[in-house]
Amino acid sequence: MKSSFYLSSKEVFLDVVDAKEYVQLDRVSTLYQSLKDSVKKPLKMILLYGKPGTGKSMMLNKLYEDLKDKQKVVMYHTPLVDETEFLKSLARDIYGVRPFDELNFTQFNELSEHYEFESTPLVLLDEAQLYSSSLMEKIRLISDARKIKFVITLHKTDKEDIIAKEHFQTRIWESLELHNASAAELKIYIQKKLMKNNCFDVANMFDNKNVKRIHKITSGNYRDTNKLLDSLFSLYDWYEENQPTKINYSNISTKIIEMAAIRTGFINA
Amino acid sequence: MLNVHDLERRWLKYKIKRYLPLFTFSIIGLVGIITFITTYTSHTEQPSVVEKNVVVAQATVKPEKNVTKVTTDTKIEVPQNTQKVQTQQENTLVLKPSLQFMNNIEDGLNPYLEDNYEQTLEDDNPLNSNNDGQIEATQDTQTQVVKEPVKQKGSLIISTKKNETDLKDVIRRFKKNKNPALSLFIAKRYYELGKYQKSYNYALITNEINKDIDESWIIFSKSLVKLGQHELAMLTLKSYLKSNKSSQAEILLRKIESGSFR
Repeated sequence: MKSSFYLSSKEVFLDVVDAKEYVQLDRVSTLYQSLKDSVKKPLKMILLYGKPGTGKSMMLNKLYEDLKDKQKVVMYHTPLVDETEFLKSLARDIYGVRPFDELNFTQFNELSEHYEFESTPLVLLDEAQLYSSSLMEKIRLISDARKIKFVITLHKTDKEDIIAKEHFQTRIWESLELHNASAAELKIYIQKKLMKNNCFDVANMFDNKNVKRIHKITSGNYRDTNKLLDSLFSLYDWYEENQPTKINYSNISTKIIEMAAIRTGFINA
Repeated sequence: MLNVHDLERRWLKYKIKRYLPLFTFSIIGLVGIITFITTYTSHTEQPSVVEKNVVVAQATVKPEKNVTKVTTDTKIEVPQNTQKVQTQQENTLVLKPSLQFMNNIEDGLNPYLEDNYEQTLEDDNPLNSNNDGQIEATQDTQTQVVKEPVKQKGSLIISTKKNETDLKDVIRRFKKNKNPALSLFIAKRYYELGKYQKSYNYALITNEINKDIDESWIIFSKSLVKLGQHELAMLTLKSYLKSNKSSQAEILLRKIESGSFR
């Protein structure tokens, strides 16, 4: 096994939102299918929520990739905090209007009256918890007018229940919650990701025992798992170059998993 | 920049930190188990010592505990009694045992049983009401009654019972109502049966319940004599005679002193 295998394995787990790297797991696939079905329904707003690192952004990105050739769909990864900026961006990306110096909410509504689409344009808003309440209210009003359909992702925190928020309670027609992976799902996730990038030997090094250890450290959180495995393969690469005798090629070493966890801060040592 | 050596050092520290509590608890548990086994073994290796302690405790037990034994265990050995009697010689209070155990008996006096018993006593001891000079006759008559029940017809139904098991019912009744007449009866019957230790105990109880019953003191003293405690018997009678006038007690004392009663 060459050292570059570990490096390429490391690259697999870089924490980037890329729809091409989307891994279909049973539970996630079901949710994704529900999301796609919801988009087809005449809903005003769809909420996708869950704890950080559960794959909301990835799913939203996947949805964008799947729909962009079929209908008008716009995705905003980074929240647009300023209201005018947000409305101008919508006008530009949906209606193709490159505007005016100023665009207020009334002007935007007047503008939207002049355009008709075969299917309602879809706007995907990631990290919607960062939008201000007033802007969220505007988004609600736009969706009420049925001129634009919104799919938003929110972090679900322990302290507050997003769905309970007043402006969502009455507007959300569909809400989907994403969860962390189970140990079995995590194993499939890791192996599928590696095999997708032709790292078959490395994928075979993961067995139930070491995946269970990884799951215990990361609680099945995809983002944390990516971070841990990135560090893990850095260590493997180092051992391969400097002390290859210490590498057991048959399976992933628990020691190196724990060292990677110490390095990334998941284990306090 | 990867500093693997530092990571390995931190990992080792982490592992030690992780397993140290487990290791500590295991050691403590192991020590605990060993201590327990050692203690248990040492206890099981010294049963004779424990038994001896028990014997000593029994020897110093107050009289009422002996009485309790009488009711449950018929095999009380004389040597234990000797020990107890010696204790009594040193302290006259021993003659007045505590009857705290009787307080545990919930039931009060049973008038029916009391009356019944008193009648029985009268029937059983026709010479009992006689005064001076007839104590011997009373005792002899009682003995005779036991030995020759056929001669005492009609009213001697209970007293003609000979064996010790017949006393069980009386003992049970006495436990319920603490009637001194019953305990005196039991003492007498045991005396007749030659169970002087039990006779002594019940006489002692009777004295405690009612210290003015001559017969009880006489049975008590006679039992002591039969148990070989002549001195104590004489001491008891003398003490009794200091505060009570009893010709029967005086006669018995004289007989013991002269050696005609032994």
